[in-house]
Amino acid sequence: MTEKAYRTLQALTIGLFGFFLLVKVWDGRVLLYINQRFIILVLGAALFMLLLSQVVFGERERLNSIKGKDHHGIFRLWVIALPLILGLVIPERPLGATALPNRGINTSSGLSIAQVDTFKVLDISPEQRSILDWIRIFSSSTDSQLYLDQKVDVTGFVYHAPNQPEDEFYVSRFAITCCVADASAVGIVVSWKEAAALPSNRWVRVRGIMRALRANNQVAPKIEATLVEFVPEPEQPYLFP
Amino acid sequence: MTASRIRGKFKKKVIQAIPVWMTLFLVILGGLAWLSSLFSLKMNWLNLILDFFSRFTTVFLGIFIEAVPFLLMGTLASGLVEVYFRREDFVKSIPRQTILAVVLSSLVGIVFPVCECGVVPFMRRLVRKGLPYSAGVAVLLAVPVINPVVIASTYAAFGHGVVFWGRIGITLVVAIFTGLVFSLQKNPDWIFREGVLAVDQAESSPSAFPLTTQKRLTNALIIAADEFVEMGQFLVLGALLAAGLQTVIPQAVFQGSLQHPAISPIITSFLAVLLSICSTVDAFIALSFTGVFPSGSILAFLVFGPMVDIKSTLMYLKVFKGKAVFFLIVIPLSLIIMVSIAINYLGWGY
Repeated sequence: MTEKAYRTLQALTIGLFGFFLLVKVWDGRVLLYINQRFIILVLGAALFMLLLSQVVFGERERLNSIKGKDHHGIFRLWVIALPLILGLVIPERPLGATALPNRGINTSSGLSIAQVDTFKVLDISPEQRSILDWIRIFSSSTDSQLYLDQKVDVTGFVYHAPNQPEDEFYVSRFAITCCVADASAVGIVVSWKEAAALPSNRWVRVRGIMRALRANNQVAPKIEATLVEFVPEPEQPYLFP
Repeated sequence: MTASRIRGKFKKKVIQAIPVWMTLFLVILGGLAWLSSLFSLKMNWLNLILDFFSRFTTVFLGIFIEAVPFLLMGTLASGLVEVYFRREDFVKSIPRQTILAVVLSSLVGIVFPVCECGVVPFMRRLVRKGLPYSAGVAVLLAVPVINPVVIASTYAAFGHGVVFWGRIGITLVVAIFTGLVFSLQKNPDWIFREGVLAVDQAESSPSAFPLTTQKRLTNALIIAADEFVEMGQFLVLGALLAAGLQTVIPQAVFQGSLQHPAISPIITSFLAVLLSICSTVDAFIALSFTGVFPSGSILAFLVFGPMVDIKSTLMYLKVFKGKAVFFLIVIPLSLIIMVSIAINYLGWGY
């Protein structure tokens, strides 16, 4: 391959990549992969890639005259393009119940040791709290009067753990600290008489009363459900601690 | 034509064919996914395969998208060093004493905040400019932690406790020690792969130092674009490997011996390699381990992870010879595990 052809392809690959990231940021689907606080970095990277692409393309004639110091090959451009190909071809699906057996479920640890968070969480009205908020409250607050017997209204997907009683299931979600590589499932046990009939991985909205589940000296939340209804998958399936 | 040449030609053909076949395979898979959603097919085996691939792709893209901005920062830093530092001036500014050069190099990150995705091209550029190899090793191991971004994120996650100061202290000690060990080896050919140190004629000649800012920046950007492709391919391969392992190995494998003071540092070190998270954000991940792991093991995660993980190892192999990479992994690993076990037995908090 000639130097000029390589340069054109390089500019094209980097440019398409920048465009790909830009579109992901634009329609918000980048949040299927990373925590929202890194959006600005990804946006910067996308714009920078477009700039790089433009510079490489603009200089392809000049660079043609300089002997390339490295072996230029189309193979490495293909490797670079792999994320693009995978991202375009494989349908994107957020992590769900099928990923859970591999990753385990977190019912008590709060993903943060900062105490300040807890007070903030306690300020949220009970029916607005997410699964993660509830788990945080339980793991860091010792005064159970503050949260027991309050009304609960949470949304998550159904997960049936092995050996779980027939009238119980987990309402769970994945929490993402940085990117999906660190996704950890958080879940609350729900007691609901028709639990066994709920299909795994379906999104449900659970309303009920918060109770406590005591085991091994730890107190974990448990919802006594009054209503469980199917809902469509939320636009943002993950929680960001 | 000899047999070996024919074999070589065949090998080349096979390698050239990989991209074509894999792209074709992925396109077919995507087409099947589209068809199955269109007709809501109830084929279990197909759904299982698709589910596996979409989980894998999601994790892979997650790692990659998060690392890309940091890789770009590293390549940009490398490009800027190239156009703004003249080799002769740079060599003069390096202290003569090895130990001083190594110590100072471990602090370069304060000026150039480059994380582990970008540190390899950055280090290579500095060594090409005349930095001693031992100091280059210190840059490689220290810079991903000893820089403002990582220090700030560690502080945000842990406050100024054992983990914060321990991370900075142990990283510096390990980087400087390993750098000094490498200073015993005087032969660069033993450490670096061929051609890594070759200074391009076009680069070192004065004409490569155009005075206009625009020319300089253009050159820096072209270097960044080239190194993005060069190092990016290893980031892609590393992220593929890490995503594959994560999709296959259940994390429950690690449970059980998590609290053991001598075993858990080994587990967290392995976890750091497996997860391959960027050093700028790993403190927040480590935060979710508190309570599960003792503080020494958390430190092992935070110190070893930025030095060695799947993607950085692949990038190391691009620049260093295999035996040098072996020492680059084994020396830090054994030091860090020893220190971590000691901290665990002392029972320090976070």
